[in-house]
Amino acid sequence: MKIILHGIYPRSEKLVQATRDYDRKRITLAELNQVFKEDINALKELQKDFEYKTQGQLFFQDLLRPFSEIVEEVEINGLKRFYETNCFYRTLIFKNFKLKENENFFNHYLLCDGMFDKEEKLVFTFPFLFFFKEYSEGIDISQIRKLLLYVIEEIDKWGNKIVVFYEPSFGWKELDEDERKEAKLFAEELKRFKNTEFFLHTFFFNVEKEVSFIFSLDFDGYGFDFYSNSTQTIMQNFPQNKFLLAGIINTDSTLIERKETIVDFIGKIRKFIDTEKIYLCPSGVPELLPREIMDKKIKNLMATIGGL
Amino acid sequence: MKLLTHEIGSLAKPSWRVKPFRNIKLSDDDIENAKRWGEFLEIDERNELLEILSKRENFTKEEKERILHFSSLYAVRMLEKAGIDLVYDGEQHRVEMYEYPVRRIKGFEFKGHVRSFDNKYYRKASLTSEPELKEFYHDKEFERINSFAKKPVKIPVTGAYTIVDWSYDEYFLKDIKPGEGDIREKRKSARKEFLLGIAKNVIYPVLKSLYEKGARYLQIDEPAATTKRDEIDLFILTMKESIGDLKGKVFFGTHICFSDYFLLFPAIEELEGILNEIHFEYANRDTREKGVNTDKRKGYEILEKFKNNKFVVGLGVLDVHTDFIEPPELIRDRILYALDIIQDPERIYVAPDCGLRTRTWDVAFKKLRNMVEGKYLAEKEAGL
Repeated sequence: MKIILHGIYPRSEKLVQATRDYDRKRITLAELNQVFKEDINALKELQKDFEYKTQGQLFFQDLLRPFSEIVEEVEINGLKRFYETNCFYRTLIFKNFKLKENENFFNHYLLCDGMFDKEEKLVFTFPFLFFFKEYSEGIDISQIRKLLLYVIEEIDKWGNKIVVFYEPSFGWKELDEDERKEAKLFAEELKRFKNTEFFLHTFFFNVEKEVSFIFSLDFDGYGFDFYSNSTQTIMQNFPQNKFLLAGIINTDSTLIERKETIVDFIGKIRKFIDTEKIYLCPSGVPELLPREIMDKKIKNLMATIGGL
Repeated sequence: MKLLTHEIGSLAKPSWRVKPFRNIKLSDDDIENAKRWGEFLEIDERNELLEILSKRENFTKEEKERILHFSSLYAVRMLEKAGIDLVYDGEQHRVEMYEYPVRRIKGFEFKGHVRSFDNKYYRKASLTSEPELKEFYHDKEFERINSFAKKPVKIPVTGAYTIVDWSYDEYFLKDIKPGEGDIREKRKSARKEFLLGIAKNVIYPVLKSLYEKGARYLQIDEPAATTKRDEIDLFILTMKESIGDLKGKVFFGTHICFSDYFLLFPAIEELEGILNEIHFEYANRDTREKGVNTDKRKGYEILEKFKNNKFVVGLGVLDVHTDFIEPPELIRDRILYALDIIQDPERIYVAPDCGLRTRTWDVAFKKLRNMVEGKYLAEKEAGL
């Protein structure tokens, strides 16, 4: 049984304080970066037995912002609520959609300034089309596709990567036919990348009405929030040859999952899918929990499945 | 018939108020600031404050209490000097609107920081046992402000829905199991219990105690009201339970900001006769051009929803996120536009969009003074 972490991982209390201190000019950038390194190393250690690791995407201000650095003219605008949470994103306003080379996107945001090698087995999380569109202006979905493909083109050259696309818009808004076509087209376009596996992860909302559409998008795997969806609804028609990102770590609660609850859940999904096709993971966005809690939840999950 | 003005809650805390509580030494600038505002606001007792501050550090508990008293007094006088009709002290007694009440409610444990936006984080608590009020946490604040305010006092109280929405729940939601068929129903049921627990055990007693102490204007702050689209019914229920039998005894307003207000209608109309005023932020969405037509007053679209009910419209006319000082003529036009839709001047209370705590006192004062000036211009123009 495997575990995978996706999304932006929570910053430690020390890093939160250091960031605040840096903003108030109490510490230097070098001192701040040292705390970033400590945080990333601690996360590495936590995942030492995982096949694919996340670097936590700790340099990401939110999942969209770094993309502003690879397009010519982007204005970082006002705050917009991140779906139905109390976290806010800044809307990106694209003034001139022209892609530009910027190594910082890859070296700093993805490889953490040399803390990770290109060849390592890593997980990166990016916003899927509708999520991206929800928090941007001046850009259409076909341009978002191009932007994501531009990034993936580079990542695929590195090899050994999993890309998780976040898409909370499923179950949150009605998608029109054109949007559905764009999603299908994008899934088709991703097939040309042979060194990367692509997972589509939905969360926060009940996706009952969208399950069949989600499965019609040809991804390597699909992720679901099992605190918003029933096992039966999701698994009854789950495609046999695909991976499941099983959102079992509740990112909406500080309560550590009971061992028997985890075991019971795993038992149920195993009736529908082979064990090697299952990745246990957070149900939603890890950074919606404090770091200490998230770490405890992961350790608890590791200890539980270790005993299976 | 005159239009009424009020503020919405927070003001910045003066550096001479903040530093002693953080054990940071006061600078010459801090003391000069206390002196300058003391003179400007004609605070008779300012020499006592300056005498205390001259110590610069190592303040005793009693001295800190006096400093707090003065920051509250200064803030109230600042609003009075600007000409505001209902006053408050800009949260001088509070850390902020979430942590302050939650620390005074039994059952919560703080779990750590989570991101709000950018590099801004807030400390988030989890409910781990039955919620219970530890103390009537706004009584002392009200009594102090009421003792020196020359105008009626309005006290903001963080609402039950916002406290719940900004917290985790380990208590009511403890039996949830992933993948269960009725998981959504279980979550909604637990949420309702949590909301009612806070409304009945915490907010209602806090409001009641304030009423018994003499408060007649209470503002229930609910910035989270529209966060979850499927929970508008729970928000309404929570508001009813929070106010209970106090309806009609106190002027109740609610302040909801930076939200999709259309989600609240028509459900919020159930609160007619319970809530008196609904205050939204408008100026933040508006143009800065003068004029009383829809084109210029883009931010005021939601006013149409108030045509067929009796709520007082809390009309935000100052954008709190910018140092731009709205000219009185712009404020006048925003009010006249609202008057044209609502028709009844008694149903319009003029206010900033939200608390002004991110602005300096100089900027806040100029904005508020212009707001009052704009109100006078509107009254004149409308023949009130």
